[in-house]
Amino acid sequence: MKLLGITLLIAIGLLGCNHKVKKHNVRSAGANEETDASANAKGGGGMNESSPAGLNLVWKRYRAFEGGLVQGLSLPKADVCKELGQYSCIDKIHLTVLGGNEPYQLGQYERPSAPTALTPLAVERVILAACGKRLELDKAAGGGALVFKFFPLAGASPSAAQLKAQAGELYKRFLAREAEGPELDAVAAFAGKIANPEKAAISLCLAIGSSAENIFL
Amino acid sequence: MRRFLVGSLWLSLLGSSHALATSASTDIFCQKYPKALGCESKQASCAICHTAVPSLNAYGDDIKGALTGPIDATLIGALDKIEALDSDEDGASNITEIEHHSAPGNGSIKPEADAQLAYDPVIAMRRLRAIYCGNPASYEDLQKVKTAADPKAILHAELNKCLASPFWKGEALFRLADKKIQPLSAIGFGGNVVIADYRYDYRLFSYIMSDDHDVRELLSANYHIDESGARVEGVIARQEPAQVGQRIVIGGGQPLDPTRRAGMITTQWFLAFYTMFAPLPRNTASQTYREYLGMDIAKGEGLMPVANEPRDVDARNVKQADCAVCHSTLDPLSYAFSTYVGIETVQAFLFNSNGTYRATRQPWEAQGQLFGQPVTNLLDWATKARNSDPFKKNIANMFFKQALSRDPLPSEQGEFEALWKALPDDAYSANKLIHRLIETKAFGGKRS
Repeated sequence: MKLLGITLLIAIGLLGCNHKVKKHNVRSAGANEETDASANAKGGGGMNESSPAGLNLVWKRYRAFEGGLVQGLSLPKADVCKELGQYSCIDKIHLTVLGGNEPYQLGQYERPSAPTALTPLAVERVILAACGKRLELDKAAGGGALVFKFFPLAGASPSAAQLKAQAGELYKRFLAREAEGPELDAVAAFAGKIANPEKAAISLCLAIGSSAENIFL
Repeated sequence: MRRFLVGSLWLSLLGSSHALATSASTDIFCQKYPKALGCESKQASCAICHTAVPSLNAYGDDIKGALTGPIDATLIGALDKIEALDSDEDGASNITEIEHHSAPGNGSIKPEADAQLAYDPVIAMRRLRAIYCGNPASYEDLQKVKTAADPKAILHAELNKCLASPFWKGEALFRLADKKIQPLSAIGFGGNVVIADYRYDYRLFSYIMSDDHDVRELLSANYHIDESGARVEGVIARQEPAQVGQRIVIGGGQPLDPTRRAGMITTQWFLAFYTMFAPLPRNTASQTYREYLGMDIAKGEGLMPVANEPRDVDARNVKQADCAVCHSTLDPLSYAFSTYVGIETVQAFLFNSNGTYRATRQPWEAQGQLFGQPVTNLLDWATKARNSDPFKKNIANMFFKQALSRDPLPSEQGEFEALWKALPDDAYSANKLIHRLIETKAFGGKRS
């Protein structure tokens, strides 16, 4: 719960600071008016009724979503997320709400046309699992850490500069772009407020990985 | 053509004796409003008057309320009366919406000038990698596009890689085929009661839709694809022997004589699953019409009544007025399928007869019609179907929706039309269609 609270604070900070926010206009349906940081800042990612997902944005469905985690966190596909340690989150447990369908056993002949109410929960669940796995690997790797390498994962609370560096890395890995100044400032504002560096790492990973910009194209 | 494409517009002005749709009404509507969405594109036509057929939207309701007599006689007057209204209360009058390619019965769609979009190759790259490779673009990928002198060349090169990938051929195309095939593991290969093996259907679909093959082979292929990906000509025997016991196996392989094959609609699975035991395979015909020509009779789409139909050849009481609205189109569509076996029992066990051709099965084979033209048999039916505009539009719409999870918007109709009309120039290659799709502003546009 505490972790989620911290994550939410970071996410709110990211949303509040973005300078590219534009008022969405229903009439712009069909125009990819908002991209990158502005799509992220909308938070809803086009999921509300007046902006149906798919008009302005394209949902990054299960396989591409998984691919983003495999690529972004340098994880083997099998390590991304498993429920009860054995059932694939992507291919089995959360497949439908992540945009897929299972025709052979379940008779689902069509994928959902837009994200469902459960999609955000599944997205966060999968990202949190993947971030946790990466953290575990990087802790074990010590100086050879691949992703969480900008501050020690045990010890003192990370500094603003360390948080910024880590966030910049995650923006590149998840969102394929450089973080913008206000986004980094929002992250830096949490320096000293998260005592445990592991939690800081996971919180950053979850907040950036679960941003609308990483779920919609 | 226009007449039958828009037939659905008027289908279900039911509930009023004056309001039964006729194909003449659609002509009246399109002659009056040639720019209306329903007069040039099936994909959006129903939505002009319906929320979901037969339910009317606000515009359909207003038309119904304005009719003063039989629809063909009073439609013009009714349309005139409601032109100035704003049926969907979105601030634009009905006539403004109709003339500007919008939806007078849908408040969330308003007329607008063509969106001022500029093509953004970065957006296109992000989308194409996720959609066609199943793997999003990395920071480095996007940097290459941003700094390239010819970013579109990079996009097309990347797309070529994606369309040759196992993800595209073995997963994405399979999911695109689900609704057409509708597999069910319990009665497919390895199931408890095996009536046919739908793995052939998936392999055939994926083969035809990749590597620049001619997509019209969806309705003409007389070959199949084996598990190694190789073409197999001729009859294919059951992979496991017939049995009746704890498991029942009466189907498998592809027993249909190749000279009677018409691609996806004559596989053993398709014929067994959709026809089953029906003397007149209406379900098989309607599934073909829906999935390969894009017209769903259950939604009132593609109605083109044939005179003196339905004859009710199998005594299903479909002559009633409420049934005849659809069956006057559906039954003539179905006759050509009636000489193909659905599911049998003893014959299937002994001779693998599910999905085979039997000229004596029913006497109606040569009595059917498609698009208002007589068809002599299913091969003739399939030939007319695969060379039609609805077939091309359906192929383009399938890939458009697969990419963007929606139908083309009013402002995108020009791009959409260009997509399907280019199919003959592209030798009916799905890959080439997708290459054109990623260059559209619908796919990679950004408001400038």
